[in-house]
Amino acid sequence: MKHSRQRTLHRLGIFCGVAAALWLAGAEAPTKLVTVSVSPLVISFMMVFGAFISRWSLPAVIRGTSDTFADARQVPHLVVWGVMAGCLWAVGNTLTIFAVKDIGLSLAFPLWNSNSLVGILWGTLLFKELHRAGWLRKAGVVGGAMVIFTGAALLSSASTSEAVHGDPYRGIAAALGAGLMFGSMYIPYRKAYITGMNPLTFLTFFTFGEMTTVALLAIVFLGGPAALWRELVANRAILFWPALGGFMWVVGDLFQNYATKYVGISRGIPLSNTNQLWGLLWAIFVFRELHGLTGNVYVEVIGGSALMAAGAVAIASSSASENEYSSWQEAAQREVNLYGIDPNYVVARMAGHELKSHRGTRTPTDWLFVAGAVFIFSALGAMARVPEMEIGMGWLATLSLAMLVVLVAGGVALWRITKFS
Amino acid sequence: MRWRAIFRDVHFWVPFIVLLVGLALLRLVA
Repeated sequence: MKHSRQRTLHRLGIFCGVAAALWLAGAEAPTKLVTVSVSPLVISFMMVFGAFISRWSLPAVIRGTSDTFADARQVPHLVVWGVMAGCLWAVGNTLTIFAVKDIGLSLAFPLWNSNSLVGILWGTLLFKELHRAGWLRKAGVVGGAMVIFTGAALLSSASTSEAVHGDPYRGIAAALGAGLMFGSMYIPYRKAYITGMNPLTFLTFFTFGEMTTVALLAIVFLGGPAALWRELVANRAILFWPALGGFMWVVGDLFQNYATKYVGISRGIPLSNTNQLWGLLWAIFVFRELHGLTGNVYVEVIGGSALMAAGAVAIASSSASENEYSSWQEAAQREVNLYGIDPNYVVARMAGHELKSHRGTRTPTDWLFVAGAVFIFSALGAMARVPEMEIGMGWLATLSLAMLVVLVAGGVALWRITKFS
Repeated sequence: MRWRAIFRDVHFWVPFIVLLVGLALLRLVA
């Protein structure tokens, strides 16, 4: 791959990491409109349900479902990793629910946010990321991730203050377990992208593992399918909000996956973990959550935000060197040898190019998926009630506009540079 | 396509074992 192409892909990956942070933070916003007491398992189920239908309809719009299956036929073994990543996410997310119940968000969040450090460990050990990188670049990435982690801890202690009376050891174990699940979920991500798979294809299979596991866990913990259905019917007025969150989360996750593909997990994941910074903007300005902050909390908020931004800049400027790229290529060659994949496919896809034989077109089935998704969202929307709460409309419009601008800019850049490959 | 290679691949076993650990942990904390 030419050096200029590497630089372009690096910039694209960094932009996708930042865009992912913005959209992943926005995805949490609709769930804040759920003001009545609903089981977190139901909210998690609906968010995943919204993500499931979006993940089948968005790829259908962007490249066509036939393209997804054509891509999967090149590397069918990766379907196993797609499903496994979905299972890991679902178990991790359920662990976060129990962690928050026991030790509260302020302690649980930084613990499971350690996932980016776990990701760096796996990226280095299993995929030769940061191998042969100079000391300055290694320090930039690892130091940047540590700084973001510290900033995240400061922000969470500033933004939450709930009193929780659970078993602290059980809560800490659950939060660390969630960090391990989320951090290890990036192994399948990187596995897919070192081989060159399209993120749209990977996420389609991811949703199967995710939806199945979340549905099973909700059924087990709520006491059977009838109990889950009863909960859904009883709370039908709020189901739209987590489903909308799921849709936004898919956009964020797509950006996160493109970031993972083009800059690796050690750079992409810490960047998308800065979503907490944007989440804080939503909390303070849109939902007016942190009234009357004390001086101490201001210091934590400003200090935490500055640390996160500094960490992100350190990572963004630590681009992969020529030597590190050759280590990535060695990791890709391992896949070619082990699974007997067409080397042309791997080389072309790694560089964000298409093989000529793989241009898919949209079929009536694709439009059926899109129409189905629109119908489900419209039906949930028709049942939804907007709760009476104080919302900063100006800030809501500003943040939504920022997300749209980033979406359009990211979409155009991905199309121009990689054709969404 | 060499399907059996999956079982010789450390990239399969690491997340798979982590997933089993997660499920066991969930059983403990729930």
